[in-house]
Amino acid sequence: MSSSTKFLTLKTCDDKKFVLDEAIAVRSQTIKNMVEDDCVSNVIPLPNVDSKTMTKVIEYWKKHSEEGISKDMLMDFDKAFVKVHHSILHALILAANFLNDKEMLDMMCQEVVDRIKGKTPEEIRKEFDIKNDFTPEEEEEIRKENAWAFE
Amino acid sequence: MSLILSDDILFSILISLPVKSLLCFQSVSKLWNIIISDNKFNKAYCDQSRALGRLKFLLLYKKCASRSKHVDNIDFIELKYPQVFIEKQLLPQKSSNVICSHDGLILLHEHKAYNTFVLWNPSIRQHKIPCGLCYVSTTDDYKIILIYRSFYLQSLENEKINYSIWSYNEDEGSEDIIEGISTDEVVSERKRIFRFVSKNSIIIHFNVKSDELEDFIGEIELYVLSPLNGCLGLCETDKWELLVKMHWIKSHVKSIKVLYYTKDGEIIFQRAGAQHFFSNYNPRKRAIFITYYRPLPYIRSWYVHRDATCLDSLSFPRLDTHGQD
Repeated sequence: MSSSTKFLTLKTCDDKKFVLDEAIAVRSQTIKNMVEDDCVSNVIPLPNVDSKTMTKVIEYWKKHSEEGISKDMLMDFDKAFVKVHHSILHALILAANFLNDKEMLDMMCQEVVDRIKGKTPEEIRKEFDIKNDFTPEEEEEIRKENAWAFE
Repeated sequence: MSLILSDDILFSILISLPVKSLLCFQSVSKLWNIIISDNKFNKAYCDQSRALGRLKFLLLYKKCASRSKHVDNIDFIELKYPQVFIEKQLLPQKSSNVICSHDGLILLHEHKAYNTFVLWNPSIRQHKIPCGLCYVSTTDDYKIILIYRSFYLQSLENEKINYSIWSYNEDEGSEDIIEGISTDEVVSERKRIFRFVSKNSIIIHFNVKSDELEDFIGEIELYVLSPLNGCLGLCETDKWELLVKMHWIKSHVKSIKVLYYTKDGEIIFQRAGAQHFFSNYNPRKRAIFITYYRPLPYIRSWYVHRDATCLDSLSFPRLDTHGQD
């Protein structure tokens, strides 16, 4: 069957090229749609993804496409895969969202959930760079409603 | 570097957070507050809880220190892993029974006060004193139903009282408050308190869609009522015998309390007196598994009174029933 193997070339925003088996690349719904609509010329541009992030994404795709890999092994891989610096996690979420790989996106979002669930509102604001747009009175009012949740 | 998230991604992150974190994060910013307080989000959150099988199981311990003093303690454990203890809370209304639960809301009934019902959402620790409830899919709302001794029902919808009162031509005999079972679109009660009703028992079946009360007289001799896949489940004795024939349960068939039907068709039940474990019956495998839940040192002196399963939910009907006696 190897004769039918097709390769796609992906080009990231920093002009790096990745040659990838089509069967693996179509884990991305975005790429799959392009392939199905036959609008693939030689190179697929990925204007929202940089090469560093794409390398990680491809590492994930390849692992998850390996034949005969056990569930436990995949779980171990996933666990290690998400243990990355905040900024890489951020880039991977945006990439997974752009490439429309729901499985990967869900996994990355779950990692964010695990990282933030015990935090205080102040820590959340810092983490996501959110401006507190409540007046102190408004904030106090909301906190009072569910005071037990802040214990 | 900070995360700048699109609304879609933020939504899917928030929806996976525990209720406690969400209540906390309402004060992060106006945008977060709006998303978390939104009805659509609440509905999606509840659906997600259900889809993931995030069921909490309530164990209610009662201890009578003296005749007048009840101490009601509730432990939440995870249904899938009964050893995992989630949290402990006090009942919002002392000396209450759990009547039914639906979508994370629990209906409690106070002992000795025949029409005092308490609607409680343990996830967000809020409670109110209304009545009974069920969910109406056509209006995507909860309908509050007042249940009185003599089977009079009123419904409250969209914060307005609907004055149509359905009455039931009652017989002589028991008028006790009934143990209702709430399902997706039906609230039903029985005349007898116990779980297995006899051939002549009448089940009053309230159909929300048609707004009518229907009598349902059993044609089979014995059956058990339980919520089953969002419908009212009737388990015939025959089937139960099929379940119990091969095991010790038969002699105790009347004291079995069905706790939950899982998606895979597994039945989780508890035998009276067997307070420290649940039994799971898998009809396909025809086998019973027994799971112990974490025994607490004080359990021995406490009486495990009632139980219900409950989802994580942020929603709470905005209803004001004051002045509607």
